[in-house]
Amino acid sequence: MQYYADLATMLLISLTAVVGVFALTGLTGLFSFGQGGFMALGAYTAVLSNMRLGVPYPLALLLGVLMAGSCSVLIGYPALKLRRDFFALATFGFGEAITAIFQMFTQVTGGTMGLPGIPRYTELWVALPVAAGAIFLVANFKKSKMGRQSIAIRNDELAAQALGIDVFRHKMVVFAFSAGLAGLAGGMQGFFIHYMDPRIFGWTTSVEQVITVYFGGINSLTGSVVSTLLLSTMPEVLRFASTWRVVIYAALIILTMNLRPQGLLGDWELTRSSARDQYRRLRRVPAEPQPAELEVR
Amino acid sequence: MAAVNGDLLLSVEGLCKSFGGVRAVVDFGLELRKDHVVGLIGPNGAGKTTVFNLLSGIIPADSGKVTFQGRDITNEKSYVIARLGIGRTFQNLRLFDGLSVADNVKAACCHDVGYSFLSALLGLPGMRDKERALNAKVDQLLELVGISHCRDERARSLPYGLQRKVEIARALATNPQLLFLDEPAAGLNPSEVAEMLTLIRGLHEEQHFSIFLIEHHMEVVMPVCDDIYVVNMGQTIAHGTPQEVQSHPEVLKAYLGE
Repeated sequence: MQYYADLATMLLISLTAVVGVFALTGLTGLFSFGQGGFMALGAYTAVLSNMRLGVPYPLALLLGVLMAGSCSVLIGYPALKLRRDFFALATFGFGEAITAIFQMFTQVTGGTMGLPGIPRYTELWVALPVAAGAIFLVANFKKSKMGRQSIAIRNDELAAQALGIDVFRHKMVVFAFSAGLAGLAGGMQGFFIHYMDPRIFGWTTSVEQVITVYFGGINSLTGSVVSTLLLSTMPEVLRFASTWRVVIYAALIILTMNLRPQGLLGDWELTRSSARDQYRRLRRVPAEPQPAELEVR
Repeated sequence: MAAVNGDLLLSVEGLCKSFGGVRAVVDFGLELRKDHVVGLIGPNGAGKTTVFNLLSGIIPADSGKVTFQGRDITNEKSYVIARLGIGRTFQNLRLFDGLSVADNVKAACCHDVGYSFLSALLGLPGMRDKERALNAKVDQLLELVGISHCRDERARSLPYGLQRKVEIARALATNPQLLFLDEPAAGLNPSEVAEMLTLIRGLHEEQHFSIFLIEHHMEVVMPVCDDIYVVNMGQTIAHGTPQEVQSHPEVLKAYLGE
């Protein structure tokens, strides 16, 4: 039972970070390969402030969010003036630099030896409302002017700017928002795994999150959530295949990207009205399979 | 003289722009008064769109001075110019793909929506009220340009003529004092061109927008414009009322060749 609870907790922690990437990479079209770095900042700030200074758990998480958010402003200010492809490179460099710095400061972080004996505060009943809260925030983000402006900027920055959108400022806000969520996820992860080493927040973590968002469909928050559920549990489900599971995982992603470039769910969002439509359609034509599900198999 | 100056909305002096060795715009000057429609015509590649891009802050000018409502907006950022009250459309349609017609228009109403990032994230009641007001504004704009029926369609999947109208609605959403229309009738069939003429007339006569218009269709330019500037090879070759311009020898030469 504990195994499943832990699996679910880990999944909810990833979900918190991924919905932030959905807002940044999915809606706004900015590729950040440094989200792992923000998770590391959140994790180390939260864990160290708790272990060394006795800051209580919720406050420590908040400190982690603030640290990740403010660092994203420092990085974003120069990096968001660059073209999108260079922004991706700059964030990649940032993420790798952060893990390298944490590995060097051995006295504070334990370096590559890691940081053992972290108290475990992140339980399923904590991770669940936090992830739900993150999804709520991002869903509102998408529905509001923020979402519309993000999609406008993703599609045509020049036109967006000419119609009165302060593109730079908007990107900055979204970048800080997603970094804050990454910091929150990092903090929760720190208090979940007993032992922490900077390398777990390397570029593979960042890339996985971007892949997850694309897999689910860049316009669908529901897609990002479903895709996190699938991709995070898949390595566990495929455990029987031992070494082949990485290959199967990769092949599935490549197949999806090729056969369904708009992602698993495309534009579809789960809302009260879309769920009702879907339910009616299923009842009237029960034989018709859902196109979104076909691709998963 | 002071009274006349009070009506001056946009004035441009000595505007120049070169791309490498090509002098795209040379010493361009313009005066645009409130409630006027000014046309900018000229053969392809004459530098008309470059003038628009310079005035709306999309590309920086090499030299010159642009004043809008008494404020120097030379080389100001394009979003600042838009917020000051110059709305524009694009010749080669730049609608936002992935957004519906209504959302395309809403995206341009960003600076007067007036709710914070935080209330957007939390979905506070204040934000919902503002969104409702915004919906009403968008419905009104779509009605005005006559595309209410495709409110929820994907903007980029509409026929060309309708996309042109969405562009205009989107420009109007920025609450402009002055509207820049870059070839609104390009690529339209004759009946659509006539419709566009009616629309532009309505915007000017009923909604009292001041308009700066680039257009190739003379049947659109001649009846609506108070004042026309003719450019060729970056140079302004003529300026005057539609009648004056039509009989100007330089203009005939530029259009018909010698």
